[in-house]
Amino acid sequence: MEILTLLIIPVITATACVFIKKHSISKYVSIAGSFIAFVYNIFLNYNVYTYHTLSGLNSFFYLDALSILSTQIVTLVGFAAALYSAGYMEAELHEGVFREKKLRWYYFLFHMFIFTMLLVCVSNNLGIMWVAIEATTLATTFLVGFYNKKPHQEAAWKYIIICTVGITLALFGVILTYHSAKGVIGEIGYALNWSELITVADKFEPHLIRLAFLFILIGYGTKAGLAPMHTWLPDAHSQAPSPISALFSGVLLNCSLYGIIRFHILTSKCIGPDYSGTLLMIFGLISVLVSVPFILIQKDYKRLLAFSSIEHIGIIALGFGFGGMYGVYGAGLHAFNHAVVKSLLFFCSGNLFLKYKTREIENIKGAIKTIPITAVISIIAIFAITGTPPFNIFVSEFMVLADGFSSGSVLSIVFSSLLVIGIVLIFIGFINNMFKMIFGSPTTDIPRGEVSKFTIAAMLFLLFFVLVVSIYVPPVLNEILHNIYDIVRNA
Amino acid sequence: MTEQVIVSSRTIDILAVLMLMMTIVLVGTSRLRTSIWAYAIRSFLLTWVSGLIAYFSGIHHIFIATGISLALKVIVIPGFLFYIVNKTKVKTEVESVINYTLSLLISCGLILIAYYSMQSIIKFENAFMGHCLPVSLAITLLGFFVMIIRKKAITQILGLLAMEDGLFFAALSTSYGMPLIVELGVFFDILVSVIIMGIYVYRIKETFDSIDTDSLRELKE
Amino acid sequence: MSLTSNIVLPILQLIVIVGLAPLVKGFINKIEARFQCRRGPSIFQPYYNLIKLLRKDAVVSETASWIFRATPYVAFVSILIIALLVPVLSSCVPLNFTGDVILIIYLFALGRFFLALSSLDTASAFGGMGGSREMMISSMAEPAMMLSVFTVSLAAGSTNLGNITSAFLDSSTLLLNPSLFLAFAALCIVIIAETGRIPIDNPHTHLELTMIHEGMVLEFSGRYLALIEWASSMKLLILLTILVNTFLPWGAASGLTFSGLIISFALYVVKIGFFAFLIVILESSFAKLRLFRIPNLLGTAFILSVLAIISLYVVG
Repeated sequence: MEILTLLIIPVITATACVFIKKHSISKYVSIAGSFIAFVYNIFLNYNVYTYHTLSGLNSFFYLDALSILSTQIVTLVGFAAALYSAGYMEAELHEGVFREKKLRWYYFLFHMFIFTMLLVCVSNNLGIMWVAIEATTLATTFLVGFYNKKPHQEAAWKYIIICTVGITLALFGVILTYHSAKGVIGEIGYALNWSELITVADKFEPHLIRLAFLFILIGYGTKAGLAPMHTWLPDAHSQAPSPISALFSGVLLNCSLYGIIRFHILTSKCIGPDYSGTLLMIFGLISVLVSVPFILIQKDYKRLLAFSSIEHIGIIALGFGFGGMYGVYGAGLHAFNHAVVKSLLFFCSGNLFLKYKTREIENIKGAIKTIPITAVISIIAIFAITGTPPFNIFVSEFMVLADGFSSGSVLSIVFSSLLVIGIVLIFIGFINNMFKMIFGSPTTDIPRGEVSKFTIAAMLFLLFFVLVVSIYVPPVLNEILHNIYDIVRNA
Repeated sequence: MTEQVIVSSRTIDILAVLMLMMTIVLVGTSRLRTSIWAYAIRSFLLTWVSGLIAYFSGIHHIFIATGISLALKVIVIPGFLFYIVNKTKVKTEVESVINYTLSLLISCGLILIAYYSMQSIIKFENAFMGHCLPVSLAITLLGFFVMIIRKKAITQILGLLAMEDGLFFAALSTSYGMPLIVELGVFFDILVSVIIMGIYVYRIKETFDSIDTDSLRELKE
Repeated sequence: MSLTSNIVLPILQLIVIVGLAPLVKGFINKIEARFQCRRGPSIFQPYYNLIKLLRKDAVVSETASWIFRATPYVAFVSILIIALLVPVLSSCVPLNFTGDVILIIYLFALGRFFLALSSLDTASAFGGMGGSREMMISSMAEPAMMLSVFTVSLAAGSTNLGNITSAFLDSSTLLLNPSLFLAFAALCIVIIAETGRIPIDNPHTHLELTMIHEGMVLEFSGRYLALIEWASSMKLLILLTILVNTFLPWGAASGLTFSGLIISFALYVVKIGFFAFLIVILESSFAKLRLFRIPNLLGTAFILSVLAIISLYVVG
């Protein structure tokens, strides 16, 4: 029942937002709804902390450490994005970018998006999880194409086509899993439930499971932005409104990766961790390496952030692929860190866009003078995202790398070395491109001052988490990450 | 195996091959309307198979899935696609990136890959409805292929639907379909995604004055 | 094999094929005319044409060699031999011991080869054009035909048409094979190409640029033309017979009793009539393809036949 409540909150918020015509009211409804979800999730968090797993509605829902980490990220970034939306969308509304009527649908889809992502994380049934991941695509297509101009339509079309194709391939993986599970379990209704599958996974037909994992990896990997299936990602991230980009980067990619990890655990239990782990490592490394040149030469700061997301998803995949204690712990932590920092950066980019009306890096100068608070936060976030000590991403990246180097297999060491090279190059690209915008003297016609209090509030909220995790990992998070390692290892 | 089982399994096999032929029509034809018809016929055949399997296995939830599939895939979605074609008033010739013979040869290769890759599994399954799994994989691959070679946005939707049909068929033939709740979810997703894509086809036509996906190339590095 | 089967059956078979072939052609022409809202010629018109042509003198080009004179006989006799290799009314085949379906394919090829040679022989422009087109089409149709025939042979366990028919007659489920279905579809396209019907070729046209088969035989006249026309109508009937007796063998007599043969003959007429009717529908509803689009259609047939044989090999 508890889990159902968590799902109902965003649905109610979404429905309420449709009926409220005035943005001055609906923004508070939206913020309140996502705040309740955030707080409620912390409560659930403690339940999982106490009982390790939680199931509900006739074991239709299932929560363990892996899913609670994902829901935590969803609700946290969801709340920040709702807060940010209030300021960002209001500013655009005042400029007359769109009509007020359209905002109702923005908030509706926004909260439906949150709902579908929560459904991905809490559903026990892997088929329902598939349905939910596809539903995230459907909920967000109109958000990607929200401004409805040529580039937005193009991005939305690419997004829905590429992602739907990918997810359709993943369906084949789900079907194969179901097929092999049915041979063991027999009973039809429960044969796709994770809690049942994990107990019998060692009896599956190995070659079916191999094939299934391959399709799942390609399919959900498309949605997670793993290269070379990432082509929709820079377009969608750069064309969507900034709060949506933040949700995409910070949360949506994690949710899809969550789906892959579930199947990774099943496959590991059936045929040992080498097969799926190696595949995860390969795709992870490709993602990191593919993003490097695009970050180095990038002219559009939102696309730059999008490619950085590809890189970080690659690092998380590598962490799970290495599969040691530090790797898995680090990957989980990295998922959290990346979600927080990347969302923060997208918020910064949104403020830049509101101020300068351009996404070209070249045309922006002197942000530190025009929007000083945003600029200072950006500097912190840029250092954090590139893995500079002492910030949180440094900790998690270091853990992943440590696991790679210490695991003893030649492949992991080679991959870790390449990863280090990639991270260094990306650091150069980031500093080089982003600092151009922050320093220097602005052209005179840009008015000084921050655009909205809401955006600053959202950024400070996220910054708080960045700084906290930089200093120490809170015990709840620590316990969850340890539990995740147990779940992965016990397979 | 009894005579009746053999006959029913063979009948389903033949329907499967007919579905495959309809997909080849989708690859081969240069007319938009023909491809939509091919989709409708293939969906009808799929529904037929689903009905047969429901009848022979006596599992109730397959009947429900059959009914929904009939309503959705045979009537609603093709109808919607025809509506979009009429509404956008597009030229109904579909250009292809590669010529007919080559695309046919490649699709032949894809089908062969499907058959060979499923060879071990078929032997393992004792050749009962042996064509179903390779055919479903082949339809999926062909759908993917159509999405790559065809430039019109609507044919991309049709390719996607072919992929989904292939997978649906795989689920049906290997494990009598998925659990009902999952199947309902999948149907819902398909319907909503087709509607959203249809809306985008319309919008793209309005903005770009064409539904060639070639015109969508503004966003790149 | 008793005396009856050695003597009665061949004679019966020759009478059916040789005698009925022009009738099938007349039937198709008549129905087609009806489809086009014309009254059309009598159903027996092909017979009258043959008689008229046989009475007339043949005009032979001065430059023509012996090949030109030999061609009509080669074409006619090769078809006659095929007529004895094919199960018509019963699954017993008169020349069972000499050859199988591969021989049939090559006998067809032999007749076509001589026709193409003779079309070049007179040095007429249209002849050469028709000959080269015919060879192009057959070079594409033949692999598809071979593969689909082999599929059938593999499924039935014999390359002998008589044995194939009786194998399919014995086991009702053997025919319910998707691979055979694919082979059937391929064979239908091939037969349309081989017999020069729409949409590959228009048998009624004498327009220079579109002629294929007709261009090839343009120089023949009198009894030579009669033999060639007769042979081509027999070819159509034989190909339909192969199709009918392989894929729809029900009713073909397995023994040689009188009543069995009567029933089998009646069913045979019905089945052939049905396929002739299908040809009419096809010809009335499609336009002839442009020449360079023909490879597309035959390519489709080829791919269907490849799929047929592979799926048979993989699934069984």
